[in-house]
Amino acid sequence: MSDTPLLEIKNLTTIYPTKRGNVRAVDGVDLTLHEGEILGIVGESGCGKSTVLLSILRLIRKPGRIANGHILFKGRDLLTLSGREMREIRGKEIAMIFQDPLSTLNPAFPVGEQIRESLRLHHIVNGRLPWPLDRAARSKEKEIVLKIMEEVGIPSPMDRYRSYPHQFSGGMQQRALIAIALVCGPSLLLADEPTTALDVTIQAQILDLMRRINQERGTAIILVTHDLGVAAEFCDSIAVMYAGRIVEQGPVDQVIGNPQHPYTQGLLESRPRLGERGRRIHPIPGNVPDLVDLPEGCAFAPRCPYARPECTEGPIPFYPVGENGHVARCILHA
Amino acid sequence: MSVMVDRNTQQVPLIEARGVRKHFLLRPGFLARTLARAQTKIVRAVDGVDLHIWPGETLGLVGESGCGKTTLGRVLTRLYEPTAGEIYFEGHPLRGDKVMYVNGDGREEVHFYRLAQIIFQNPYSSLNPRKTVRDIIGVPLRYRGITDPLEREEEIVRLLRRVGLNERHLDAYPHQFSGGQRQRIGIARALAMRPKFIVADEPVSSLDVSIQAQVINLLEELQEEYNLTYLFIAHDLSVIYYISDRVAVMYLGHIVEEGPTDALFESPKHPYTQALLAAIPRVNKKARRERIILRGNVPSPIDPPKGCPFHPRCFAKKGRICEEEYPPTFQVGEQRVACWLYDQYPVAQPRYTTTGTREEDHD
Repeated sequence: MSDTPLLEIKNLTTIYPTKRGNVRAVDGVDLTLHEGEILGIVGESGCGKSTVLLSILRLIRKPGRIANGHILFKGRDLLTLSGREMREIRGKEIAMIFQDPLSTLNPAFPVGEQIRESLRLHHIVNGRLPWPLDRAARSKEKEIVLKIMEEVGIPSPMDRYRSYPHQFSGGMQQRALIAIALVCGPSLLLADEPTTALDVTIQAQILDLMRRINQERGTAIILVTHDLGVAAEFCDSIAVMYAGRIVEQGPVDQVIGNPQHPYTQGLLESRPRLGERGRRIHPIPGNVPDLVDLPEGCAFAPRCPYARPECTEGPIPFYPVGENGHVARCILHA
Repeated sequence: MSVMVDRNTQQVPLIEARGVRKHFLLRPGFLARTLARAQTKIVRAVDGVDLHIWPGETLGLVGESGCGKTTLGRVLTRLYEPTAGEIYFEGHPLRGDKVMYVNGDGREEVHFYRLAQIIFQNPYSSLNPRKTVRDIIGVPLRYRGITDPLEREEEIVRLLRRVGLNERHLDAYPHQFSGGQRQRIGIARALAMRPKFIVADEPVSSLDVSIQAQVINLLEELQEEYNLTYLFIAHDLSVIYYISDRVAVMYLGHIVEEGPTDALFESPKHPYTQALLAAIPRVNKKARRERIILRGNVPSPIDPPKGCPFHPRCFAKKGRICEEEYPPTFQVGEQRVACWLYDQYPVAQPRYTTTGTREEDHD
């Protein structure tokens, strides 16, 4: 692992204008990821975690826009690249997989063709003739596709190359998506809740596959999930998000084993835990705030059992807690 | 007719299912049948289930997609009629959609919906978008016999308050509520009938973690207060562990293992249960189990394999017998397991009394 981080996000702010005002979906987020590392972004719906991933790939649809910040990938600021340069990155250097495979795969094309499309768009196989005429290039591409289908665990790739997405089960569809993402050999994989729609035994298979890919290919992964258990088992470090901001961050053992922000603690308290029969779960009272009308200071204050007047006075910085870069955005640790 | 009675306590289960099957027919269209000789296929969603639920308890029902748990929940509330088998309420058989109900005041034949209700999984599709909250909860009250509109309104408000909403919401429509709130409306609707038995079909799966906890706590409080019996269907094993007294594990239309929650989670007997429990991602490192990664996919209930339905994916397969014969249910300690690995144990016996019929049925 080299010293230069693979990805450095600095002060990222992504806004969606609405009739009632600007929604700060991502509000001043900093993240760093090294080669081969697995980072988890954890939070509930609406906290901005998916928006962070979409922002990295500049897939934010108008009228939403990235209002501020830098996204440094291998030293280059992605936010300064042209459309053409960004297209070189998407799918080839940084790839993404989404939550519901059936809505991301094209129902009208065979799965094998969809995997091949990525190879073709990025000219991975260089032929001398125009593509439709170059049989050698096309068969080389097919070879690569079959190989990756095997790598991701799709049985009988030769037969399934011509299958349509609806002929695959949920787990197989997700494997197909992973194949599309990996076929050009990206160094970073963004995964937005890839296993939420899957059964638990299939989830275990997919996470196992992703771990293998990380170990064998050295692909760095950012995994967005609402499931703390998945994050705890799978990630090296995690960032907990609330209302567009990171509230706690650090090595996964630290954040899960010794949570320092009241929201993280609340999340862990509200989950039933296996092996602890008599333990009551304590839901976090109240609801997630309206992102248009965020109060000054800490967004979690209205629901926080430890809230003080100082919590809502001004922006709260990160304070170090524990070891190895574990930080929490909470004045309890000032 | 024999009645299931616990030999020790003389208690009768609130709900009992015997040999319940529910099959759906997939009939191809006219052209497909005449030109392509396409056959009618059978989806064996529930394929021979024996189940009992004691009064006041929560039975957790787990399984993955396609195992038949939702179908079983609907058969037990008679939203579907079983293809085969019988369902008993407090020892009395269901006849059509009615059943004999005995209480302190006497006995009468009532519609089963007075006694059994369901809370659906998807709060977005289970409420009529064209009805106000007042109507959604008011209609069941009318069926309960509350004809006076003022009295009904009072009861609706009472129910709303009990689930954490209030009278401001009476004239609102479902789309104006969040997922968690809609689920609460669904709960109020189920309670409106004052049922004794509620099937909760994945009531918290589509909710955020912190809202899940709120709804789970609410369901527990209501159970105490209204003396309810629950069949809690879920695929999230942590939630099942938390809320259930006993757990039944389903696979491809069959119950493969059943037992008290602690026993089943601590020492799962059926290979499928073991794989299921091993697959749960754990926050607590020490609680993590050795990974059992199951090969293959969950099979389709249209073409179930011969013999034990789990044998194609089983890592502990015993031999040919698994492929040829469906295993009987063995009593292994506190659990009942349908697996050939345990054939040295006795076959589980249902606990019927020897005297048989209930005296009331002689009237």
